[in-house]
Amino acid sequence: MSRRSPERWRALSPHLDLALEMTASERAPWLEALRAEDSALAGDLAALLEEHSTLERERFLERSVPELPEASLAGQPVGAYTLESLIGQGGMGSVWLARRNDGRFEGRVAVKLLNASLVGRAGAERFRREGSILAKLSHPNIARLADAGVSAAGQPYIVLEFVDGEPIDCYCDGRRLGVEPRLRLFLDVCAAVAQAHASLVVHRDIKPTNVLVARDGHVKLLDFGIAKLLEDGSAEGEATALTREGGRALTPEFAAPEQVTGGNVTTATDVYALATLLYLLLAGRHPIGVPGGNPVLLLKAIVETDPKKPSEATTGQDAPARSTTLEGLRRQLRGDLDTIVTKGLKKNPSERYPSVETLAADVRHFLAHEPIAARPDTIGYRAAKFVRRHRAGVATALFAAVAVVVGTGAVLWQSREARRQRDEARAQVARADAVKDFLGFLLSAAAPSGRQYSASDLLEQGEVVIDRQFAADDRLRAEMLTVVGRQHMIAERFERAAQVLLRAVTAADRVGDPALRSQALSLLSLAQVAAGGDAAAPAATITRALANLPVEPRYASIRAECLAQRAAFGFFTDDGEAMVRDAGEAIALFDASPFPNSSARIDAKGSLAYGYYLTRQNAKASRTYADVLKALEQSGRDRTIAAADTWNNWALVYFDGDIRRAEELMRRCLELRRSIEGQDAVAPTFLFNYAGALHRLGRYDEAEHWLRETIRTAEARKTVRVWLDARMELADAYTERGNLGAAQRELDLVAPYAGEAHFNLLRQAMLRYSRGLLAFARGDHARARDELAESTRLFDSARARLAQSVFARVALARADIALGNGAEAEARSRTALTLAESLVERGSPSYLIGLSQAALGEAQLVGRNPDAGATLAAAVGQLQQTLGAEHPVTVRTRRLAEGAAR
Amino acid sequence: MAPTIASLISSAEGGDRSAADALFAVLYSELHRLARRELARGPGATLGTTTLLHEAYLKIAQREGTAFPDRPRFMGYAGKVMRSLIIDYARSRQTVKRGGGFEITTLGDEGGLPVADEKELQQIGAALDELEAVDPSLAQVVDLKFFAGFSLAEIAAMRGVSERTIQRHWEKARIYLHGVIRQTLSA
Repeated sequence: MSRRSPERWRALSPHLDLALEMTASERAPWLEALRAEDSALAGDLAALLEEHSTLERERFLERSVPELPEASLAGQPVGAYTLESLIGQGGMGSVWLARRNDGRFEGRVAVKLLNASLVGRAGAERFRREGSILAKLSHPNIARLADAGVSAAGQPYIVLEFVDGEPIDCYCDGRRLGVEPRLRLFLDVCAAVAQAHASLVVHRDIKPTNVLVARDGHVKLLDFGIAKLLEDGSAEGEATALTREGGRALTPEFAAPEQVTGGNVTTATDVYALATLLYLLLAGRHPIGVPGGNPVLLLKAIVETDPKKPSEATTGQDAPARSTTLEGLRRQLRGDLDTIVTKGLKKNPSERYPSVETLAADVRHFLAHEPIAARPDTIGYRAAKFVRRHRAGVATALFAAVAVVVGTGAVLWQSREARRQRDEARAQVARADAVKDFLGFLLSAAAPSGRQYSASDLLEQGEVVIDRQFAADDRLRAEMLTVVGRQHMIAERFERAAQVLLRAVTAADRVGDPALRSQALSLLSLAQVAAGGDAAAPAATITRALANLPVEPRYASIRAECLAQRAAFGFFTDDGEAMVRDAGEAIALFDASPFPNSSARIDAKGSLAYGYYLTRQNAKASRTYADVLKALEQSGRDRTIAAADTWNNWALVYFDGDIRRAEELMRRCLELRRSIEGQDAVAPTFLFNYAGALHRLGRYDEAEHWLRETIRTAEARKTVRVWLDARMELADAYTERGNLGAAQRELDLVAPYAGEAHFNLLRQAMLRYSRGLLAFARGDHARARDELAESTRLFDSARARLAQSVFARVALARADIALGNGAEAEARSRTALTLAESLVERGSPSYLIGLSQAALGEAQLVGRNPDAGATLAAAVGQLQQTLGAEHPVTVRTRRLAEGAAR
Repeated sequence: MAPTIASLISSAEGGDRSAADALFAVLYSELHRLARRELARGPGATLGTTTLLHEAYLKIAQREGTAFPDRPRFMGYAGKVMRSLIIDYARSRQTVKRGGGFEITTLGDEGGLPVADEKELQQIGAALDELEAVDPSLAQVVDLKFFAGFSLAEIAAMRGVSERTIQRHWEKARIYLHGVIRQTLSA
């Protein structure tokens, strides 16, 4: 019986209600329990829930319905033009033939009237500004953008040179053009796109209907940069451009994989679209095909399916339109043209032609019968699929580089800042919008052409563009330099950030706006602290900036932001007390402000919680994190990266104590990230954190699995630090399980990095620890003692109060016990215990305390100290509470305790 | 004199099939007329479906007087009418485009992805008809949310239930519809 038949649906419905209220982790055991009672019911429910997660991914029913049709607007004035007749209608608005209404003759123009919602509330100014940038684009093969603006009635419009022509594919087919003339037309298209790229404009939406051939046979490209122009300023960067509600000016058939996955749109995106166009012109069909007209399948195919070679894809129907036979057409396409098109269509932007010129050069080589530069695919080449999914552009790409403290990687300030940038858009902080939009413009459109470039290149380029475009406008320059500085900080280039922000402050000084100045100044201070500078002077700078802000309610929010920046110092200085103080004050100010910035307030609350964590006020930290998550949920952001980060940081509170709780919280973080970002896109830091919790809990199979995943992901992302940490942790897990050969192999892989700069004191200490542990397992106790003694010494010189340092001391104590040095072992385990106790709030359960007590008890046992029994009993109590009764360490300690009792 | 909308609603609620059909037709032409009038105001007059429904309610309630049903009850019927209106508009737009032959001017509407296209709307409409037979209350949530543009909070307020409940109804309806459409596509 179908799950959707009325009777069945009625039976399933109440269970579905229950299931929808559960989290994923609650659901699985519930379903299992249900399965035992009624397996058919459970099976149907599982299928429906699967359907639910599929539709969530597809964002089923989240798109908007078409606007109701507009009445005839003929004769209406728009800007300096009078509309004449409707020449097109689309989801984005309508297009009219129009003339200038001030009598000046400029020929006919096309006026696009856009749905107001596409421009966004805060976007009108940006729309005009970017429109004026695009209007400077001049090339015989580009239809000029004459004007862009918003009419008095609030109607956004674009005025374009009117082109009377037909789409290039219809033109070619209609004239039965052969392969060669098609290629020559295509070269004209390339010339236009290359020129635009040189002017820092990316088209983003190249498709046949945007590439016209006029009656005189000239190619004209329409809508250059329009797709970008239309991007809603309030849109969040992470949403998939094609599926977002409200929609963007994109055509799925011609979208590049990075547009589908929300990655960076660059000149390489246009290269992809040009290759798609070339494919279509040559083979007569779309490279991916349009599977069943289902947009979701199409998007999936764009990201995952490798197209057939054009020579294989073309059919007998396409040959006559090219004045040839099928065999003739295939012969022409086979070889070089197949190779050129395939290279342009690479899923991974960095494997495509690096520029439009290089693509065009290969086409010219082909026409001249010269060898082309592109190489055909080999099997190995094709097998390296484009599996990585990009999200949220630059912010996330940089976010992957978040530093990890050895052992547990805290999501520090950088990531909070990164996601604040994204969440801020949703929260509509109107003040920052124009600036942020400009940044987006820089990052996506200001890509230097002709070579590979990094985000850092773009920011440098951005600075140049800002100076050129806004030389006369100190305010805008200050704002934009602040944004660029902020981006440098997200990318952890703190020194560069400080340089740029200093210029922002100088520009702000000239404007004389205290709000602008204090914002730039507080960010500069944070950059200085993050760059490793002393915190005292920057803290004083913020104090002075605050003093210079007028005491008026409207500045309360700015004041709060400055304090929140200073609170963020704590992520770098570990000064939890200052963090608690500043964050608390910032929150109070946000609450008093008539313009509360709820997103920044939640962030400040996150800083407050982190401050509590640093000062070992675990209960307060925990309550505050719960508040943060509740606030996120109330603002509809409980399924965001911000929420995932909060789960992660909350887990850290329990990492040195109630490790089972930490595992649960970390799992929430990971589940959320995996559902937001996709299985393979989660940054290795989070996999590593989760693996760490599992490892401590003795869940070796799972821990090893996640550590291997961490290593794999870190390799793909080239995040060496996490890679090293995960290898060392994996070695430890292998050692503990007696898999000594595997452990040695891991350490051998790490050893070559030991001399490098990122192999700091902490990592050196960790490596010694791993080696000591392995030596101990091999029975070489003397070597173990030496390595572990060196490890604890290194931990001490790094002034690290870390769980790892407790581990090292406990292991050292056990090496001493094995060597018969009972007294030394006792002393070592006492320091371990003192350290473990300092890591948690007084009185809260801790596996580290348990481990230290176990070592101490064992040492006492060896020294025939009568306290041994009591110490071991206390250890068993701690360990049972935190690691559980079945954990190997608990079992072992219990046996010792029983022995001591006898 | 033609029956009032209020009387049609009460007959339809009493199970009168022809009254239900007549109610649908009357509401359809009412909304259609209102839409055209609003949009004739000039450039920039884009019309949200929600606004349209609110205005329709005000207008009809004013005309028919105190006997007219409350807003939530009215919206229950009007949501479905809006669905049909939108699908018809989408269809006529599609026809214009095909006949126009001058596609250069359209911005990214070929794939119809930014905004749901006619075919997709038809699929959803057909699936909704099936859902209506099984669970009319779920179907109504979709009409009000997807087609009429109300927020879940607004729908919850109309029904006097919690937003959480409506959220669940919405998810259940989506599960149902998605299943129907997937099955249709794979068939």
